[in-house]
Amino acid sequence: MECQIDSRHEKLHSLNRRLSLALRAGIAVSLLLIVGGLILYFFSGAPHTMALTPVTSLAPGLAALNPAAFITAGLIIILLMPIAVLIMSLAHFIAAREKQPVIVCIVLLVMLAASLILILK
Amino acid sequence: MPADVNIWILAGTGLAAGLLGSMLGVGGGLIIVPVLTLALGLPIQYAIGSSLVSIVINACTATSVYIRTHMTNLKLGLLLSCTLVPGAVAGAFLAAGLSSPVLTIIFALLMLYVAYVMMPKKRRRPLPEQTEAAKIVHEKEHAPHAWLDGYYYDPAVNEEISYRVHRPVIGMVTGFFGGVISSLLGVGGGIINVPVMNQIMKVPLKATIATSSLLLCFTTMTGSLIYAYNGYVAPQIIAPLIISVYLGARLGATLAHRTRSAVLITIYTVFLVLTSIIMMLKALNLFG
Repeated sequence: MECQIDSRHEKLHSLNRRLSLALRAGIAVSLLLIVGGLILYFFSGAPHTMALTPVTSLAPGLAALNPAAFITAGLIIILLMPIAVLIMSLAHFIAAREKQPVIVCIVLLVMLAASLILILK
Repeated sequence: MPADVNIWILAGTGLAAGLLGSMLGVGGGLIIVPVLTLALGLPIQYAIGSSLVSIVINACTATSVYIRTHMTNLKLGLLLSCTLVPGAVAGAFLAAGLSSPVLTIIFALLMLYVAYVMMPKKRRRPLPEQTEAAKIVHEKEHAPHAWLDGYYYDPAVNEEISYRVHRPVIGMVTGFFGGVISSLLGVGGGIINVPVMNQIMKVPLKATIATSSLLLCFTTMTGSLIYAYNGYVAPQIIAPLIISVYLGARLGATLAHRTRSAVLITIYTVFLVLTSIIMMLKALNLFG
């Protein structure tokens, strides 16, 4: 029994380490894109007022070195970080067969999806 | 869309928000929103949107550190987020329906409340028989949510701290209101979540703060999405703000051990009181 608990704790610690790594990687990429966008903003003579780039125009915007596209991409990565945490946690709890956390993760995922639908409406 | 804004004021605001945020464990929103509205003259909706986005990165950075040291109670954080997220959506929609002066007055009132909470007070210890009676009740109530229990290693006392989570339902209900406040006013919502988790749910303070930063990731992400979709997030404002908040938070973490927090708390409290008065007067058209 004790051995089982220790193994469960070890697996949770391993998840924590993976989550921390994913968050740090996401923050680093996002900050790089935002700093890049800010540098482009100062040196490309972009207009003083910018709007966020729509997701569909993001790839062409990045290719065209559009500062707003870089900042928007950085912002999207930051906003995706909590969802990445949730999905990684869900996968872990499914593998560990922990019923209650799996239900919680699914409910939260549904809540986030519903919020997104509500926002887009 | 706001016109030209002073990048140095933005950077300075972000730096101060990140610095104080990490040194005092408060959200940067209470600094960012008033400075952006009073010093830069931005509409409060833009200030709130920008504040939420910068709190997301601050919260993600803090979570990455806390979760690595196993201080975050992941299961509890995910459970409370289930009500915080709908609260954040409700708060953002509520903000869209309120006029700027009303929103400003609500924000100023929150600042006064936070200033009051942060003032040092004498703590009354509970009587031994009260704590014993409470323990017996907690044991009976506890069994169904034992899966939320947590533990962490505390280097300050060099031992592993195990704890039980009490009254998760109350935490979820108040979490909803924490989400509303967060999106409505562009603050983290920790001012509600931290006392509830620590005082009512009996989670140790270090685990509370760590878990609260995970909650902030979810609430501010939801709020940010709504403000961004409604066009209240301007790239030229958030870019310098995000970078400076991040740098300020890193600097704050380094300085935290060397600075007297009592002095910082006093400065912060005075700032909150003065700014809330100015914001209220402005909202009522009695100032500048």
